[in-house]
Amino acid sequence: MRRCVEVAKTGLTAILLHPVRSGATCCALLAILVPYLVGMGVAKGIEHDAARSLEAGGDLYVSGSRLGQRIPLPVEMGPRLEVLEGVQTAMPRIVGRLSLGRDKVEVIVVGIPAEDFPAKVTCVEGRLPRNGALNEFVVGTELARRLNLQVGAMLPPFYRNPRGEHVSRIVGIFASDVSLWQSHLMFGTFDTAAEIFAAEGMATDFVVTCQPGYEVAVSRAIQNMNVEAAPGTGGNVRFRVTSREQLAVLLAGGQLHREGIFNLHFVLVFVIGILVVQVTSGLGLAERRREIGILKATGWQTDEILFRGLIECILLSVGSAALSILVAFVWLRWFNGYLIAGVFISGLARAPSIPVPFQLTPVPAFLAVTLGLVITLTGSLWSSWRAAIVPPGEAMR
Amino acid sequence: MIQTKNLYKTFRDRKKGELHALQDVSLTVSAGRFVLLTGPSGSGKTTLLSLLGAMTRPTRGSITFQGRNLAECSDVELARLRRDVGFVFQNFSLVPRLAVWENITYPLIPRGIPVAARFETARRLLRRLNLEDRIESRPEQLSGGEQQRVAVARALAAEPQLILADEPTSNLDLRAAGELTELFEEIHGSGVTMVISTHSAAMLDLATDVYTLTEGKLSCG
Amino acid sequence: MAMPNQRLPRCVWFGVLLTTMAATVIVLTPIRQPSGDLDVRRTEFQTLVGGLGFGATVDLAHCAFSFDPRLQSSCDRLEGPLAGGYFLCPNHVGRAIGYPALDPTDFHISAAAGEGDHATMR
Repeated sequence: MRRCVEVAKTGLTAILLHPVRSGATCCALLAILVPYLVGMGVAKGIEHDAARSLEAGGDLYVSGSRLGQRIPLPVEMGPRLEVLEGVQTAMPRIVGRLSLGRDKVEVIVVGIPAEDFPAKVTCVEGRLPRNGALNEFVVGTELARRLNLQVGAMLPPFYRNPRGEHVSRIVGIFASDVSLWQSHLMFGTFDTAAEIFAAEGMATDFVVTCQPGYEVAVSRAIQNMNVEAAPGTGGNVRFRVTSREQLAVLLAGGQLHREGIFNLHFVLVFVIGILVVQVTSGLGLAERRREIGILKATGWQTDEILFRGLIECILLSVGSAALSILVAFVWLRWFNGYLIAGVFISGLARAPSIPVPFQLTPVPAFLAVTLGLVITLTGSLWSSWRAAIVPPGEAMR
Repeated sequence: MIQTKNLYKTFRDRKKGELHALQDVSLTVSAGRFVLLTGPSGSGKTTLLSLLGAMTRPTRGSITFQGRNLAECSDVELARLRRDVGFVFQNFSLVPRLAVWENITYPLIPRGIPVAARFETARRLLRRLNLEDRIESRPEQLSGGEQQRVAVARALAAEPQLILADEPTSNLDLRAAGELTELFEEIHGSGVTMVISTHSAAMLDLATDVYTLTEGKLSCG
Repeated sequence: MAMPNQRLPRCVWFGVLLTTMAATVIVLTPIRQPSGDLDVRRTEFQTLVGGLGFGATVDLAHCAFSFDPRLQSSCDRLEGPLAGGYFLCPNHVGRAIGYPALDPTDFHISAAAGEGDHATMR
């Protein structure tokens, strides 16, 4: 045991003996692990926000589908849905997309019936929109920043439909910390949104809330509703119901459910990392080989030399992973993911105007250490082993 | 103490073909002797010392040390046997980035000797070699003679009964070579068996046995 | 004579120790619950918009599915295939979070007699 401890201590000495090689290996690991940890941290943060979105949203989302394409449903569907047993409310909603300004800034227009607005909200700086002569909107923080909008600002007409066009007024701006998804939002009343998209009497979907325990029954009932129940759609409409449980399953899948590209990228990065570490371990390889020769000549066994190399790799990977966690944390927390958050969240500016959601958890941290260890071991232990198995006289040459 | 019988060492080179570094070398070194190996460059002195120091295996023949035939030992056993032999290399072979005391005591690490005891050992040896004030220096801060004395201290660290030295004075000036010769005499005086390859005439006076190697063949005197 | 100086200055050791401890604290700290006010604001926002947002996208520019599968049940920009059976949506490249499509085969024509062409969820 004593022998192992003393040999292990030389693993640390070995790191310090070759500062350039250790530094280069550490930098290579940082370059790989920091984006990995940031990506995983951001994913976890988004998962938390998504969980809240599910929690505070409806139990069921009902939309129309024809020929496999999503289509709007008539607003008259609302009362028909509300009479189903177990349904508490069926709120029509419009969610649409447009672009504004010279820079074609992407906007998500969301319209909700004014009567469904709460009396008072604190998530908005300003007030909620009202129905009236002017179109009134609450906008997201990124949108306000990009279009230089303040509360009270007027938006020149940005749409044209058979009923003409309207000037719009900004009556509020969402607080930046309420959600990632508010940043490009233009929130107005249902009528205003319908006016913009010239879709009077139509809703993108219905947000249905059910009495507890009725979700499945209501879902079945909606799917069994006759197609004629959807007047004004031209018939042949299917009702597509997305339940909270369906999405919760996606969330519960967690990291295992992350689809290929992110993982594929990092598999490639890890392979490249191994090659990089192999190259960096080549720095001073002749000197290292000679050093191993001297150790062997003075009575060190091959397994002791490899154990020393293993400890060196473990210390390097644990140290680099710890530093990576710290860098990822500082980058996300104090620099709000400047430059890097946009890599993992589509549509985000280089300097995000919203707090980037993130949570660094033990599993990715453990994976970072493991991956760091695999990279350093694969990259450097081979060369150590090669040097350690030759007779000392040969290694010292 | 150590004995070779009909020892052969052949190196194979793609261009030059087979090179017979040692041929039929039989040598017996008894405990307490001071053996000198002389001979021209390339005669096989370094090869013979490497074989005696368990650093390489013979092509044929046997080497018996501590009652074991090195030719039949595993790599692990050879490594363990090397711990009982002190080796002084021609080019010092110190690790440049390690302090003097670390260089001296590195062979003690696999024995599980704690750092404080190792440091104490290094200090004791350096005091004996008049280098105590250089204990924390790096090898490159030392002169050639000092580096070779550090290498001797490393060879002595594990208190071996046999010391092998491969042309230890060849890279030193006359004064340093003289000091080293005195040091070897002192070490031999403490009962350590010495086998040294050298061209130095000064060491001839100390030797109890002198062998000459010529083209891989050993002869007495 | 005392033991020689440490190879690294004490402050560096302290830095290494501090980094490791800080990293451990960061990953072991339980998930931060937002303060009371913030929590209320966040819930209020989601209630106001009827539940909006799910994936790692802040707009609907290319892929509504990656913004919220409630708006579009699958990504219609899947192009590929890549090696290993992966498909690539240009909007998903490198994104941190991904999820499988809400499989449209979940909806099938009910075989119930006389009920005509309507969908049921499996």
